[in-house]
Amino acid sequence: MSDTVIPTQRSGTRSVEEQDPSLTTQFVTDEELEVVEASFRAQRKLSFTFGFYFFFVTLLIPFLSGTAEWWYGTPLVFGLTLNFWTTLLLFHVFYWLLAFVFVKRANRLEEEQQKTRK
Amino acid sequence: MINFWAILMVILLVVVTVVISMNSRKFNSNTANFYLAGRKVGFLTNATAICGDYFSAASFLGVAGAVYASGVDGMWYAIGFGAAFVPVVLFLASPLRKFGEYTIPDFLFARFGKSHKARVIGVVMVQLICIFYLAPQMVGAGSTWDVLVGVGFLGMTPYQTGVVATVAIMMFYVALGGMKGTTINQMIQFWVLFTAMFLVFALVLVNGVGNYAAQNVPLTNPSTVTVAKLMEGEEGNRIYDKAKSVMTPEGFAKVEEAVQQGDPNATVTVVVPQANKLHPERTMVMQEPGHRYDWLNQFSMVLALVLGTMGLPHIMNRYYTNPSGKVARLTTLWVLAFVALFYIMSSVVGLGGRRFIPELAGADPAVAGLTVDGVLLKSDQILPVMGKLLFGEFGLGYVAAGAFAAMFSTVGGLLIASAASWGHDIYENYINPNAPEWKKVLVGKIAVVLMSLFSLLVGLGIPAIGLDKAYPSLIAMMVTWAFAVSGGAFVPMLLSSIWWKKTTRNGAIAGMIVGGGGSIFFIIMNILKETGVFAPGSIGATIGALNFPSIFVVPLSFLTIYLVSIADKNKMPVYVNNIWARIHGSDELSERVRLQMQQAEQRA
Repeated sequence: MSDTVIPTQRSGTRSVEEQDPSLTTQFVTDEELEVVEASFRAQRKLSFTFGFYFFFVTLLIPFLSGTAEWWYGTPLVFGLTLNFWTTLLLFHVFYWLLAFVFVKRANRLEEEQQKTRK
Repeated sequence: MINFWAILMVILLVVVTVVISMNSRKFNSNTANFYLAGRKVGFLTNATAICGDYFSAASFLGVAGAVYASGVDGMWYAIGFGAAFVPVVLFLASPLRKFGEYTIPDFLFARFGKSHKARVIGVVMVQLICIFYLAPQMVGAGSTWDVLVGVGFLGMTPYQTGVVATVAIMMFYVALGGMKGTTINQMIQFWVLFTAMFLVFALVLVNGVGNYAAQNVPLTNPSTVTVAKLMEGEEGNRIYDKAKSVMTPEGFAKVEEAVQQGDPNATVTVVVPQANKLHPERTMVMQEPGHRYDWLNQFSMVLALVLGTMGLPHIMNRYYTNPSGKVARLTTLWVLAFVALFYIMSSVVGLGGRRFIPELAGADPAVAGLTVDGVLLKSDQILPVMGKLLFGEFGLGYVAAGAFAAMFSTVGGLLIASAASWGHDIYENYINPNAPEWKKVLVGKIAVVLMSLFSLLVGLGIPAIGLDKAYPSLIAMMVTWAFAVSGGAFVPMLLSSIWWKKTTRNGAIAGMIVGGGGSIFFIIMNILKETGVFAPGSIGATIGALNFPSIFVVPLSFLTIYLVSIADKNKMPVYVNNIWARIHGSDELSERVRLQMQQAEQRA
């Protein structure tokens, strides 16, 4: 790889000698890169799946606040609405549990990938 | 409301802060120690320090006040500030730490093939965000000193004394203590403010929150109007009639007296039922949404807060101080537990205020002076007032110490972030790359001093230009601006750079300019509208009506990054594979590649 001509974003096409070796040398082997790509894909799937759950529920609250009277205007427990209980308590419990499950899974994923590599 | 306990506890807090900073100064022999505490901060220490960084005056005083004044819409602040760390743990915490740089501009430089342009734009954005965030802390320092200490020194007003004292203390302790001293201080300050909140929360729970919300009585807040305005309109629909329907006979007697004196320009403070902006046909009650925001602003406000945290430089810099990516995730989980608990407590205190202030304020002349017919004139005073009503002078003193701890810790984090950006990103890289370590640290300290002096000018200048009169809840509003700028400038760029390999340098730069610049544009338009520069109904006033620009600016920034990146004809350079291994590889691989890149650079 070191004697090839490499295009970069900054300089267009230049010969290797003119370039910074930290930018023109690949320090990971192709096998390592494959493992990184696999890890990236698995992590991306996990992060974005949880991200979808999080933003869906977060944006569902203002949506229901604007559209559903049973949500914002009907007392349910101790004379208080679901909207009230959610913003006071339930949503905080929800996002902490979501993060807890995510961290467990993300760490497990990382450990499994390390084992596979060994 | 001056009291012995408030002054004693604030002085005690300052002494502890200074002693810790002096003990930490030996640790700051090199820049990695000064800016990142040697990257050896454990998860619990870091979690409490991040919380100390995060819980500013707006969180400590503002959230409970917002809940007290607005009910469910006030709790939106608690939701937004609390849940904001979920996207951090999902998308950024581990990759940022694995990447292993010092600052966000460093990340930009390394991620985009040593792009100086990207780094310098990053520095500009960091400084803008720091200024936007420092400004409300300064206003908070001045106002809190005014309310809780109430004394001015050296010919200054109490507000000015608060700003000057806070800046002087911060300048001293951050410059001396560096990241290590700041981290320990933030940890202690966090526990001071957290226990102060817990004290008031526990007292509210023990005595009973009350059933103001469940009673579904009209939500009322004070309003100061002229007699002419009070009597304007048809009988039955005047502010006078609305106030009469909700105020006690004793409270309304003072209003009647002012009306009978016959001066139309005389001002009178009344308590009036509030309008529902979300469902105008419904009576506004504590447990329903709509007091503060219409439908669009319900979405945009929560998005601004939830997304903005991911781009706050003083919070994100803390992730570089973790020993590994896994620890970074664990740290965030603890942060989430603390913030959830803190904001639940804030909300309960705000709700409890509706029961205790009407019941107890009459017995305390100092507190009674802060209320109208049992409702606080300034909702931001709810926490110190509740501390005093439920635990006497000691309670007020403890809350005062908590409020100053909140300001010290946030300002400390911002000063370190700003100094790292000037000292590390600019001086070490462009002005004197071969400087010895002691000189680099010295420049970092000088940057802290200069930024402190600049924030002093900002703090003193805000009342001078009348911004405090244009916005009734200026502190909360200014914090939201900082979130909007950070959300627009950094969040789309960070997410794309970490999760989309094909993001190009030009795409990232364009995204930052569109996101950061767009947010600042909307904020300036909003300021011009609120200060009366734009005539009502003009185009400027229409654009300036958007309080939280993130709902438009963040998607626009993402779109810009995507379009510019695909339009960029350059192929993916070789170094992107190294970067990818540093971001998404194991901790060992990330560190190995980082060192190899560093060595290659040194050889070159």
